[in-house]
Amino acid sequence: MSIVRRFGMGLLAPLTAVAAAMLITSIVISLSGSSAIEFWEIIFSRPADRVFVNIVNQTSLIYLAGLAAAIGFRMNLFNIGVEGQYTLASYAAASLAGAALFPGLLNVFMSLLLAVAVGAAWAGIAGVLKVTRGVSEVISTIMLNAIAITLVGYLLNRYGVKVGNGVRTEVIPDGSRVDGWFPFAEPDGPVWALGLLAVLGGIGFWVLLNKTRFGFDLRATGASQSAAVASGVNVNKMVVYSMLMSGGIAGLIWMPSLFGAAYSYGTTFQAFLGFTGIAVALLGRNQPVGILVGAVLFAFLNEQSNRLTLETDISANVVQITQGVIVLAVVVAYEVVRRYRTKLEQRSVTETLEADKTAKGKAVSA
Amino acid sequence: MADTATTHAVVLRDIGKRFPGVVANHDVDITIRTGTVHALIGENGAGKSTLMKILYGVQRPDEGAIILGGQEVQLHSPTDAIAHGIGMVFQHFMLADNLTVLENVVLGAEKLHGIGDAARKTVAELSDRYGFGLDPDQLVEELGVGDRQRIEILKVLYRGAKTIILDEPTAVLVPQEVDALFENLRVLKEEDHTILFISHKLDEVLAIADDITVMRRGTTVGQARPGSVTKHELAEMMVGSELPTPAKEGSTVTDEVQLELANVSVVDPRGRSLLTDISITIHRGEVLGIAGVEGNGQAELVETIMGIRKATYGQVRLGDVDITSWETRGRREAGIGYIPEDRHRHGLLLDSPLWENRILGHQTRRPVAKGMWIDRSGAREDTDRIIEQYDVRTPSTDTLCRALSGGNQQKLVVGREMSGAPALLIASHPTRGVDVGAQAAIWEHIKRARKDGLAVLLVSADLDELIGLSDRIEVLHRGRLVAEFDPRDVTPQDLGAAMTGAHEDAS
Amino acid sequence: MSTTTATPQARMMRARKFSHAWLLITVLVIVALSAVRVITGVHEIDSTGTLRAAAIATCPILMAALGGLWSERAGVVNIGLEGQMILGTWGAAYFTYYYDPWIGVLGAALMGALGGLLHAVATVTFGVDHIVSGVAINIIGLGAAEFLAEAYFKNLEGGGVKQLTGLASPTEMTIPGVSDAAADIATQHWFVVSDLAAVVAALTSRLSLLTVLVPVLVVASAWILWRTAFGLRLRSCGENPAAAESLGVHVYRHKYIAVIVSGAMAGIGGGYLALVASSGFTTGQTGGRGFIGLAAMIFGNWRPGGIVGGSLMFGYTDSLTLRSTDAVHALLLLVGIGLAVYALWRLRQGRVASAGVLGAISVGFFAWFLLTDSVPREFTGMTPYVATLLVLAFAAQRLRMPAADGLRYRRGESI
Repeated sequence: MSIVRRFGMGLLAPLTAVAAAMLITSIVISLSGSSAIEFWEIIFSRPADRVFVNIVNQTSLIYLAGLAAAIGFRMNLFNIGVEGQYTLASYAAASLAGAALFPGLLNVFMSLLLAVAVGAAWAGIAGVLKVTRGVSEVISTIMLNAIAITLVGYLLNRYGVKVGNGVRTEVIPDGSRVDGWFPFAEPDGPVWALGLLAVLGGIGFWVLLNKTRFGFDLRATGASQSAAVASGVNVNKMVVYSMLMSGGIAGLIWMPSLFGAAYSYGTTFQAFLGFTGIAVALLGRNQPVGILVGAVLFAFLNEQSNRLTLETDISANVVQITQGVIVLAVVVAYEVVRRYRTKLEQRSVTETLEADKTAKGKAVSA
Repeated sequence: MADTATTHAVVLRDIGKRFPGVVANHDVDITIRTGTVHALIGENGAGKSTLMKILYGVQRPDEGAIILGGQEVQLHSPTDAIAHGIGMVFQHFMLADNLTVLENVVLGAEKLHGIGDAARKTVAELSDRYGFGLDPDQLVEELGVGDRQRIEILKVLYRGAKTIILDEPTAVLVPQEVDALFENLRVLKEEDHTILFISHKLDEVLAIADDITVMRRGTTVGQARPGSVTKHELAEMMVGSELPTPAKEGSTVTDEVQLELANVSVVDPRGRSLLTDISITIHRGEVLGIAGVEGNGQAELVETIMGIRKATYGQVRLGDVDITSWETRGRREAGIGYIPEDRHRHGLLLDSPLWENRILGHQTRRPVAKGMWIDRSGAREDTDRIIEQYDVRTPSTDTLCRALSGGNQQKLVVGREMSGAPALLIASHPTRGVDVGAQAAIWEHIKRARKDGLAVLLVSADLDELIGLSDRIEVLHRGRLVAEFDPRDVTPQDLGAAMTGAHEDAS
Repeated sequence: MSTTTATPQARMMRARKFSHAWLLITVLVIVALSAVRVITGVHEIDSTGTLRAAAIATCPILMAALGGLWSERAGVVNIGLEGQMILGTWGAAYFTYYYDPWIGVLGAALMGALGGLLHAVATVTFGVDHIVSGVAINIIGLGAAEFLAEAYFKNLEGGGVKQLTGLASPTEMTIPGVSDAAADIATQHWFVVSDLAAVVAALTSRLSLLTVLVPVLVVASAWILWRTAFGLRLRSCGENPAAAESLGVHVYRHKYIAVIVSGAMAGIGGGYLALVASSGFTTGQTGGRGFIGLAAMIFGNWRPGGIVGGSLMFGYTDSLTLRSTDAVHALLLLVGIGLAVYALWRLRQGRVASAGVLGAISVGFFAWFLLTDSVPREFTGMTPYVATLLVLAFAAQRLRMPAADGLRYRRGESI
């Protein structure tokens, strides 16, 4: 099969899915008595400078979340627990940074380290339970999510600082804040510097997966566990490692925002990114570039939809339907394309064989 | 009583079936008398399974006629076949472990007697009538292989089948279970059922069958009655004269020990013994064949040598090195090649391109890896080498493995496992499910490597392959080595006897 | 021939012994509960009000668990229960507002079933991984309910962008004499008697008919799944679909039905939240109960009796959290006693090590009870999740999920 054809087929699935999602969204909006055209006009309008900055920032968070989920997915390990891992890690890092035990940037570094460690440890519980007790990671991470979120609520209430109606951790001192660059006017806000973590994460993920032995073992385990075992992969070790890595990256998800804008863990904490990450990983087929496209798309939809509330009678929540449908449609489309591709390949092999036979002439007929 | 039967339960006339590129059946003629046990024998790949699927309505014949009880019929599905009183017992049982015997039997046939007490009574009656001794309310998971097979037969009887097809029913049974099965079959025959018994084990066929039909290369080549034919004649009909058997060349055995297992035992977590006190040595340039009925410890033996399973007791040594506690990867790096029994599950990543499959099992070694990095171009080049040397028919190295035929997949596996000059090759059923051409090529490669000093452990169910390739044959029975043979003066019959445990005392 | 042939009599005995065990456990729980109440003086732990609240908290969890049971028995893992439940809350609100509460319940079932249908299309027809599809359905369910609420409830009376309050409730019934008398006895705080009376009182005063419907649905489901030909076929799809197909069972059809029913059950659970457990619809009302239902199903070992037990336990702790922190504290004593009894039982079986560990944990709970005055509310909220994790970690070998649960099945790939 030619490169062009293969590439085209790779795009076929996501494009179909996006088209399906747009169609369904339009139908839903029309049924609720609003104008779908108006909706798409707003969504596809040029983002304001401030919105543009937000899209970039949100992309970095969602991308990290997508990477965290994708590491597990690549070896058929369903880490549904990204949500709990980054909630707990964010709280821990914010507490440490707020306590200001270390000066300046060392404080940032140590807090990031703690975030990674906490995220990894929380995910590691599920990994260890899986290899030692055979507990499905899907169920254990769902349980661990709920436990983490309740636990953080308790810790925050117990040890947090009361401000008005809310509770938060200590604010990070000035010297340990990492704002970033201002591409537009000051009020449009900065692009968070720690968003670079997402860039590093993406490159690291790509190299790890495609260039290293570890990445090959990981993908082989995902493709066929039994074949991986026979090839000498220690699957139990791989499960624990990849859960630790997945959780470690999950720990970083909210860090750009913490050090760039929020400065404390409290009402400003952005929940639900873990589930968004899962969706984006699926959308991007667990490939670094694909996840990036998905993250941009989701961030774009989220930010652009904010205008809906002010300017139309359409609920901004409709983009959640769009996003959900994209995810479901894309996995279905990938499956259909996969079957079609296998068929094509088989035909191509048969053609090669037939060509071989005719070339060899009648000698074979006996 | 066979002579009193005048009608024919099943007549197959001129049956033909083609698949893309393969003729599975042609000109098949079989006549099965009512109330008899009719054996259909032939080597693996002779077309028996396809024929049975045609008779059971799973596949439609391209030509020919199926005549049941004097009437020509069209069978579009198993449901049709069941309606015509034909039932099939598959070699691989189709049972749900977590359901009871009763539930498994009545599933899909609830209209007959419901699923309650009426059904329970019927099942119990059938079980008693044929001496099956099954408790309707027992969970299937608590039952052994013999009982499971009886459930399968019960399923067929419950649906009112008069003609029962048994596909290789003894392959998974130990001798006592085989005896029990034959007892059951005799009772069934007395009750006027007709049985079509598929096998390639001649002793069993001669013991139970009233008539025998032999198949070879997709067609029927002869009929016989047990009284008037010898085992040897049957074997000749089955194998024919031109069937390729690996021709033996001069011995290349050296006295340098490559693999040594000393008193290896494997006990599973539930305390059952899988391997007991196995001691073998393989020298450089030697092929050691392991014979045995499937499920007698072959898989466990292979997995223990590969480090996929750990030996509970005993020692595994590769050359001078004790590798008992090594992981699979370390063993592979030390030079063990592995052709697994089931290439789809253990040998290949079906949805990955060929060049990635070249890396599998060699993740840590050149030319496909450098240090902690994967060497893509090295892998591609070496895949091209395998495609060339092993005649793998594929458009390119980027083709997905799934798209290749079984024979080509297997050649790829063999080529890969022979890469990097292994010291020891574990070959488990290396030519199972491949076409004759690929089979000959694979044999040739194994023989050439043996000449170069490779030590080979060959596990196979194909006795000709074992006899033709091995320098020595050991027989595994219930996890123990029970007999050793010199392939130069052993017959398949001798091996068969040992495999079923008959030699246990003699050896 | 066959190695273990139990006579029907022996089986009957075993079955009877089994039901005796359940009865014994129930009695033990009541006695222990009563003892703890008397010792601590915290009558709230099984007051009429608490038990009423517990029943109301149990029902939605039980419906979600029942939904999980239907789906997983047919071999489809449904972690989209949460999303289907959310759809149910909206459906109940919408149809109750325009028609009446019972149409509302139907509407909840319908919306949940739609979510189930989506799951079935993805997993059965297209062979998408069950977990992936479930995650997507949770996202869609959440988004759809919020969008639909804003689109349809914003301008209604009692409505807003995130809620619709003042909905009519399904009929409530009180059995006049019994209710008051039982409530009276319950407040006497007699050992055991008052506890039983509280149960009676809770079940006879202001009992919503929807609460009655829930156990009816559980029993009906159990009957259908285990006593009918349809149920047998459905379960065979979860155990060995290839075998089922070979016997003429339409595996796809049964899976579809199971997953749609599963969604409907979860939807009714959502409807219960909107119509009985609270006085109207709000977004985010399910609060993860779909997942708790899933936990209850696993806890209950994929069996109807077990999921009722699991849901009751989770519902009870849930209701206590909101009502009384003292009661939660008293509960520590109950857990301690429970573990001690279990440890003794283990010791009698001769399993010393396990008894030792259990005993130590039990002592820990006693110490916790004696050394503190209250338990943080959040800890009680964690109970279902921690309990499920512990059960999975330490009793996984006793759990028996359907053999082909969560596996992709394609027609005709075997035989």
